[in-house]
Amino acid sequence: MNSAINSKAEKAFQLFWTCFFILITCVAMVPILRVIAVSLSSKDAITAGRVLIFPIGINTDAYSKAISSGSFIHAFGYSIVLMFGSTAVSLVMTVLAAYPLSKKNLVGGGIIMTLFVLTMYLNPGIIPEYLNVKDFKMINTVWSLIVPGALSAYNMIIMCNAFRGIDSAIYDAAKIDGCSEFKTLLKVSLPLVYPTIATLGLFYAVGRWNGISDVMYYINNSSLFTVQMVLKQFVESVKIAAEEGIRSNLVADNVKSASIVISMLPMLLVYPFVQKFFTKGIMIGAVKG
Amino acid sequence: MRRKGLLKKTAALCLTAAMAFAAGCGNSGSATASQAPAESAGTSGTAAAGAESDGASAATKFEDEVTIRVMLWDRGDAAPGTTTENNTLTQWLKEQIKETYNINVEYVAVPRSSSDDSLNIMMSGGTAPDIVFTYDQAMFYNFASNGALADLTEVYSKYGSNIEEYCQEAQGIGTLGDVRYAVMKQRGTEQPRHMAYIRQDWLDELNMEMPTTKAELGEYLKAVKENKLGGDNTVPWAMGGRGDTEKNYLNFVGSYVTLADDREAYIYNEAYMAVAPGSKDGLKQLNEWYNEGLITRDFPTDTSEDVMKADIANGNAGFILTDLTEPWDSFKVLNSETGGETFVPLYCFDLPDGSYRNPFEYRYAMFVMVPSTTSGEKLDACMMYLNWLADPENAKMVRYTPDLTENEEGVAVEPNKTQKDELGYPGTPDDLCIMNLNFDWVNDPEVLAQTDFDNQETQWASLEWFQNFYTMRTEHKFRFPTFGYISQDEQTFGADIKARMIEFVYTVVCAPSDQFESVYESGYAELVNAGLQKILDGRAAYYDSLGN
Repeated sequence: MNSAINSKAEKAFQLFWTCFFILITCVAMVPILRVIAVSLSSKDAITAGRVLIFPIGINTDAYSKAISSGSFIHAFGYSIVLMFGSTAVSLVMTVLAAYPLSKKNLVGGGIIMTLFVLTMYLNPGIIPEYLNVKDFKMINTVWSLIVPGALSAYNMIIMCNAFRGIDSAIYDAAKIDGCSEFKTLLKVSLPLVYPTIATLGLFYAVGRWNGISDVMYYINNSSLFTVQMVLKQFVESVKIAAEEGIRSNLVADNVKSASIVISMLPMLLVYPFVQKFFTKGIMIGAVKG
Repeated sequence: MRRKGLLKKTAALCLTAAMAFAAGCGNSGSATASQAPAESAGTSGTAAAGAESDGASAATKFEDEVTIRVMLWDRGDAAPGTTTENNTLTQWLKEQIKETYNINVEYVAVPRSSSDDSLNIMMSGGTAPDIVFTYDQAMFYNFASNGALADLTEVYSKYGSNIEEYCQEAQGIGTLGDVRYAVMKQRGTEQPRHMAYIRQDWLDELNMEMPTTKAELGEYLKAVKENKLGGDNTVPWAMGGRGDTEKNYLNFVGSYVTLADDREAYIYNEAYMAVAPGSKDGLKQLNEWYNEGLITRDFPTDTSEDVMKADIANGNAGFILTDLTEPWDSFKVLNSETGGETFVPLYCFDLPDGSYRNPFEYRYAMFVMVPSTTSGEKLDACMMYLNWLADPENAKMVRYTPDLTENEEGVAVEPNKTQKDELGYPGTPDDLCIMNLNFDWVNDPEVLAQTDFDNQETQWASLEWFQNFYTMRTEHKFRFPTFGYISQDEQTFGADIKARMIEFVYTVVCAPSDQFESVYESGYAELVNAGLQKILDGRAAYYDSLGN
């Protein structure tokens, strides 16, 4: 093995891919660096197009303005709470659906799984979804942002495969020791699939944090607008000002960028801690399932 | 994307029709019933309160309180500790309306950036507030022609006296036939849609007179390029590539179009000007200049206009055609760098007869509508609310907040951002002022110039510059005729064609000279296939049906 890695061809191969991925990473970083640079630059430097990936005329006024915006800060705090709440609900729903479906002896399991899978292919469209949410009296409530997306069939299948990957002997042992199904789930299965839970938790959290269409459709109450919705208002202010024929509603570029940077922070902070579970979490189901 | 937009519009059309049918069924028995509360309100005998103007005398105070829900745009700029719906200004407004008419107002926040989508969904789902609004004429026509809007004719004549008095010039478009389906917000300042600017200091340097024709403009652009007045990166005509506006070419290409009469002006309005008879010559000229390097290279890729703004601010650009005051931020940077004034407005797109055509904004802004699900007392209350807002005194207090001040010229000035935050006012009070912006001072060039001059953070232009700007922009006023009607084809294909048209112009302008004809022909054929001819035919047929 060692000799293979040390061979010239292998070294060149490693070097090529290392350089390639460093390049890809740099390319991916450029827009982020630019947003950060704009958020820290003076308005005149931005107008003159002098800001690329390093700030010019450094100042933090934009951050002060973004933080002093009542709407933005409220939306930011609310979005964090919503993200945690929504992720918790989603994980509970996913586990509760996946665990029984992972059992081969579940009567009608195949049909139920087919129904779940169908939801991945058949999309009713915006209006039927809206009417459904409306009939459940969830319009303009936080539940409209949690319940309709509480369970993703795709994530549920991953979780199901993770449960199936647990050796049946472990279940038998738990049963012999007198564990109920619920206790088996809680004490035996969940600890064994925690990487999958962490990964799916991140999927749900990112989905909720970035999600905007449901807020657009179901919410007409500014205290329930998420941070992405507020950002959308900022970013599209130019287009709106053109429609209205007035320029007073423009949001300055540096304030827009500062708001974007602040809204990126929670995800940037969470990612490194969860990243290690990524491969492990998804592969648990894939390999052994 | 285009297909998605088309599908969305078609879906919205179908659903609105379905919703209207349902609403129509529900309302069929209540049409007469809806009159009774209005009459009882009118004969309640309660002392007329109303706004102080004579116009509001018809509006009386309800005996029993009535609650209406009013749409309100949210732009994410509420003051700390407040929300868009609940802040010092909304509280003040609610109190005024309650005291005057015994009407409770509840505001429903709709995100500004997705306002029309949200409105479509709310109308389809039957959850729309009692007062809604949009800038989109096609959306208004769609709602109105499918029975989704309340007939405002009667309540308007009963309670709309302020609107009639102060917002009259905007109201024509809100009717279909003899039926009023919307009241229109009256714009304030009359202004052109777009404006051309040229570097006066470069003209001086070149010993050239201010261009008054397109030919003279061409000479100037060529001279700028030859003399590299903006250095190695000189861009004689800096052009951006936004895909949602015709501003980059409309006035120029339009100057090749004669528009013999109102019929032609109606058929070929801004959206269709690029295919009007004669416009091809304008596109050909732009194509020649592009290939001579007189126009920003690859400008269609500059969709956010960052490159164009940078070219202006860095002193590379010699000429621009853009929205009225949009480049002022760039002028500010450039003038600070050069230490003097640079760009000045001009008219040089001469028509065949030597005159100029300066397309102006319409006098109306938003279509303010009431869904057909609202009737009876609520419908009356909605019109009373709107009528109250049409009174200039009330409108001023809302638009500039009750804590407004007046400058030396008598212009109302709203508290600055810090003060608004402290006082709990929203960032954009204008969003509550949905009827009237036509204040005394808004069309006085002297006052506007002085106000703009005084309001400069750093002085980048002289008082004379602003005076010249405000005087010039009132000249050569032209408005394309418009009607409330929109043909079925235009409803279906209009938005798509508008986007394609801009793309078509950009493609034609950037084509290699020897391929101009073929690119034009194929682009035009694509437009026709996408529904252009049907739209134009529909517009012609409608105009002819009016018997003009």
